[in-house]
Amino acid sequence: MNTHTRKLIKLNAREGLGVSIILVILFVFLSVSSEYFLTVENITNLLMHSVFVMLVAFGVMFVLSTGGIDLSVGSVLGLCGGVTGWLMMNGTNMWLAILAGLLLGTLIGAFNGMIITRLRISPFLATFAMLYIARGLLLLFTINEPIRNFATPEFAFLAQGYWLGIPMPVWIALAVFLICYFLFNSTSFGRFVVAVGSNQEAAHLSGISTNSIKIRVYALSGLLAASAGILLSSRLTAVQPLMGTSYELDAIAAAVIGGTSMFGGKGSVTGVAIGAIILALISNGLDLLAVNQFYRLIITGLIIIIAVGVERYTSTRAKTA
Amino acid sequence: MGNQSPEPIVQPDSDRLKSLRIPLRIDGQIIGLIIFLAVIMIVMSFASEHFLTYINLLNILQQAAFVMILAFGMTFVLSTGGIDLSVGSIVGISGGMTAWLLYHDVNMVMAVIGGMIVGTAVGIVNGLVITKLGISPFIATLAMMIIARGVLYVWTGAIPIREYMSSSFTFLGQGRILNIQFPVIVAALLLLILLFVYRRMRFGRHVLALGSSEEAVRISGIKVDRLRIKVYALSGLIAAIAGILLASRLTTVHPEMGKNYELEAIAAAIIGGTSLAGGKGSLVGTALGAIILFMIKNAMNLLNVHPYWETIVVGVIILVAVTVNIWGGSARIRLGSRKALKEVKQS
Amino acid sequence: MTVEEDQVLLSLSGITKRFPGVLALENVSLDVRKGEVLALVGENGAGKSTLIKILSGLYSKDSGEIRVRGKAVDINGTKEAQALGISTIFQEPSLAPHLSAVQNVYLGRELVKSVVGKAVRAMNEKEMYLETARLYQKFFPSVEDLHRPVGELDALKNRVIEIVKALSVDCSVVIMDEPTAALAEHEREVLFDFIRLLKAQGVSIIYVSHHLRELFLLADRITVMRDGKNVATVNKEDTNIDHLVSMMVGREISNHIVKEKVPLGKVVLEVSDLNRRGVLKDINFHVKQGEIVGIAGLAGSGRTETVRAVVGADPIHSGKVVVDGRPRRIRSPRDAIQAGIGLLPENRKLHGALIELTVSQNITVASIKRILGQRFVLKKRKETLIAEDYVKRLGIKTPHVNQKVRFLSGGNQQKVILAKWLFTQPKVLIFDEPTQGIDVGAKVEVYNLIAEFVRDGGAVLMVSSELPELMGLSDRIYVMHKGRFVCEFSREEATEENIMMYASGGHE
Repeated sequence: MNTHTRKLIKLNAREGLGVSIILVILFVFLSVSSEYFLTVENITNLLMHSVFVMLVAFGVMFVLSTGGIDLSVGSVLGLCGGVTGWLMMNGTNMWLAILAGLLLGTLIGAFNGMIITRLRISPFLATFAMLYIARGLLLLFTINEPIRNFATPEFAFLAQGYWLGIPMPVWIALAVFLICYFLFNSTSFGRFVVAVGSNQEAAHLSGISTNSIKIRVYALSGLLAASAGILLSSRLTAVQPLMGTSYELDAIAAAVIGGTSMFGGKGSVTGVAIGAIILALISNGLDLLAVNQFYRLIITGLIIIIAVGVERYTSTRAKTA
Repeated sequence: MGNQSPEPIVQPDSDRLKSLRIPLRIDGQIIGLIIFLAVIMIVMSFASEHFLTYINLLNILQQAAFVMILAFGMTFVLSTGGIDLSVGSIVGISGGMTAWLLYHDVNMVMAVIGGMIVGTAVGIVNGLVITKLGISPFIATLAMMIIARGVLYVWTGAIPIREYMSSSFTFLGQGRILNIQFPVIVAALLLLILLFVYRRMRFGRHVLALGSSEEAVRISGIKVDRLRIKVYALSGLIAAIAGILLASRLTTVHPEMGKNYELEAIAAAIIGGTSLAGGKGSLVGTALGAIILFMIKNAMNLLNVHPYWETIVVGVIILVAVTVNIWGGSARIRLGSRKALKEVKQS
Repeated sequence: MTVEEDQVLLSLSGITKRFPGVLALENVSLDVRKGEVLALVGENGAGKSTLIKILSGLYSKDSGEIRVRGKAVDINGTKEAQALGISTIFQEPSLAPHLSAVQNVYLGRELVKSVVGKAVRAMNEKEMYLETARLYQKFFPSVEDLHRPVGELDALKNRVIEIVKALSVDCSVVIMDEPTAALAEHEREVLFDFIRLLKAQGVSIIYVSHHLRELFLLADRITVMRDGKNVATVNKEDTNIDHLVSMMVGREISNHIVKEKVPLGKVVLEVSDLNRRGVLKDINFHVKQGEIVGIAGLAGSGRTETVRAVVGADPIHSGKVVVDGRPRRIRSPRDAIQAGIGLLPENRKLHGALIELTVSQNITVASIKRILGQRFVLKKRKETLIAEDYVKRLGIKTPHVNQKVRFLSGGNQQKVILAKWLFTQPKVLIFDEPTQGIDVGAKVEVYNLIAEFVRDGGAVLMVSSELPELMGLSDRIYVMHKGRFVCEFSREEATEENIMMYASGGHE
């Protein structure tokens, strides 16, 4: 039993190895090269920046684990943030508006799932189309007047407030992280998600209703994207029609850096969180070192390749070991 | 096998019949697209008097040309079962390279070749990362999309490249032959050349086979890695051509040039009936797909529909096109031999 | 028997191949004579596939010598193998489903003609078509199918196209790795005729198969491999199945099929008037407690479709399922599990195992409620204990229960799937090709586990293409033909002949 657990730890450690190494290297490098890096203020700032992508990436991770993909999250983020803002601008109660935004995101996600399962359109295409449609809807919302001046102090508190010296978004992200971690690792839902991603037919024959799992996963992805959108609209106190554009790519990048497989059956909530933090770390580090922000793109791309490459290398090693 | 008894010769009749059948099968899809185009045109010719004019139709072609060219390369990549998200960034970086060379008074031909080399090189790197590091095409080209865009930003310092136009270079993006814009002619020529490559040359056959079953290709003694690298290099080269034409057309290269073009190119290819899963593609369909995309944009413009509607309509069209594809032609293989396909998937 | 030098077409001596941590081939030597069928047998992992891959140029050997017609050669890549006259038909289907027969046959060596100068060369479709048609007509008179994507054609035609592909290069040795795997019984007969035809034309064939009975129909000599070594090469006349099996396993296996008489109880599963338009017609059958019921039939006769319909994996148009006297409405596998029916599907890799999940996760996935605590929390400690219990009971070879199933052997994967279904506490288990692609030793273990389940009061419905297996295990056998149950035999009545007669429609 003891050796079993030890082996288990080894195996799990190996799976998160690539991303952890990158995180540690970046962290050490930045602490050495900038004295400002390792301050409470900077670290909270850093976490704060990673929150929005992280929330979206949690949902995307669930989707990727079923072997699907959700390209619509960036547009859903924008649309739901926009709808919440628009409702508040028109005098709706803050909580109702938030609820409506979350509900809309969930519905769009569920709709994605329905198209994918009922019409049997590939996830890439279905959510690709939704990327256009949701973005278009937001554009229509902002056609007459921009969405702004809606943030009441309470609403602004969501993204700008502090509790125990730590920004609210970080608390929210922490809560969502814990819930997702629990969902993914300790519930039958999480188990079914990876089962569907590993082998859909086998999962179906094992009594899992794969369609309902998929719909729920896309709904979850929509819900999380909406929550990120609402938080972002609170932080920016205005909703631009292009808010959230290309968030889907950042989220997929964070998930993949965190060891999620694009082919399903493999994901990690902790990995995703680390992946999102790494993305924020790069941008933060460039700021501190007074390097042109344009390098951010190049470094991000390289890190994606390195993280996935290391992951592949270690997982083939694990096979022979 | 030297000692074979004389075989019955295949009847020439049935031979001809059979060779007729292939084009017909593919044409089903093309005909669908043409009908769709025709419907738009008929409806629009009633709705707006400006639509069915020579100038307007040429305009649509001109607008569609850039995405169409990109989508040709994308069709090859999708046929192998891969994807190339980096083409938009390649448009930017190779257009930028050509502009930068021109700005530094390099000969125009050299500048154009320089731009093409950059595009091809980026494509080769894509191919190498995918084959040698074993990273999935989506991730590899996603990373390249980010990296190439970043390089362009760093290189230009986010300041647009201007004042590189010469009269001969202007011709590439804005000139006309027989009153047809040059980019349209390039797109048409590329279509013919690539059609030959895709349907008549061994390379095209291998590309389709790769998307259908990698194992079959490997066993047949084809060097799979090299083939895949070539496909991404081709995609890069074609993207570079689009980038250079665009640099001439826009007369400035903004570091954002070509952004999101990859999505439009994928949309055009998919509407044209190319399968994301590989093994199936049509360049003519892709060309029609690109034209449909831009004709709709044009129609909405003429009808004074707010441009914001555009994205919604594009999304819906993708869904419709794909649904029609799935429930129409391609269902046959799925039903016809689930078993064989299953076994392929398994390996 | 002495053989003249010029009779030996291909000779291997001292071939050794090492993979990281494994010695796959050790000092293997064998000769292939002109115009003979040399069978290659051995358990999975005995080194047959490695040997074939070396001969076809996919792997390179570490040491040893290959001679073709007396000349030492090096084979790097499939094209070089073909140039030497060695063609291979692999076990996994090696055709691209979207391409036509012609396109597949010439894949990688398309005939070309110059179009513009020497540089631009187009494919010569006509030439390729005529040559393919010429070879294809040896097997099928009609060339209708040559332009259709091979994915739309049936398994036999796919096999034939692979053979045509192998023959279209000028070859003297054809290697066939499990060529009958996807074929039905009567299709196998057709294939065997083709192979005899080839042999008569002087082509040598290296034939790899798990079906020992097939070999006695075809082979001239049989080479047995075990643990990467060539154990023996014998003439067909000098051996029998038991002898071969004992050489393959390296120990005596007394009787590989066991079914003890178990007193039969009440009817557990009763299916009546099951219909699925165009696929299944008026299916009626029942299974009693303690009984193993077999379903025989050719591939495509509706066996798999029947069992899938029973568990709700495929839609049905009408039909009644009664479990333990209670009518059950089964619309999905989930309903079936609740009713106490489990299906172990054919094709383990595709339908059965969740290879990215661990052993314990696989075992509990179909009955997750049983390890669910309050508020949907999984009891992982309990899960591990349960899994460890099953691993011990079924003799699953795995380092620990948190090993991913991907890393287990085929036989052990099948046992994990069995454990999954046993954990659902089923009344009826349905096995579809339970021993497909697993080796002799593991087969016996699976048989014993099935027998044990029945002894403990379970009922079993089993589909199998291997008649000896089906007849050895079943108390009763239903025979299917064209989507109907055409006949029912008791264990005593069943013979291979009468089963095959009904299965192939000979009764009509």
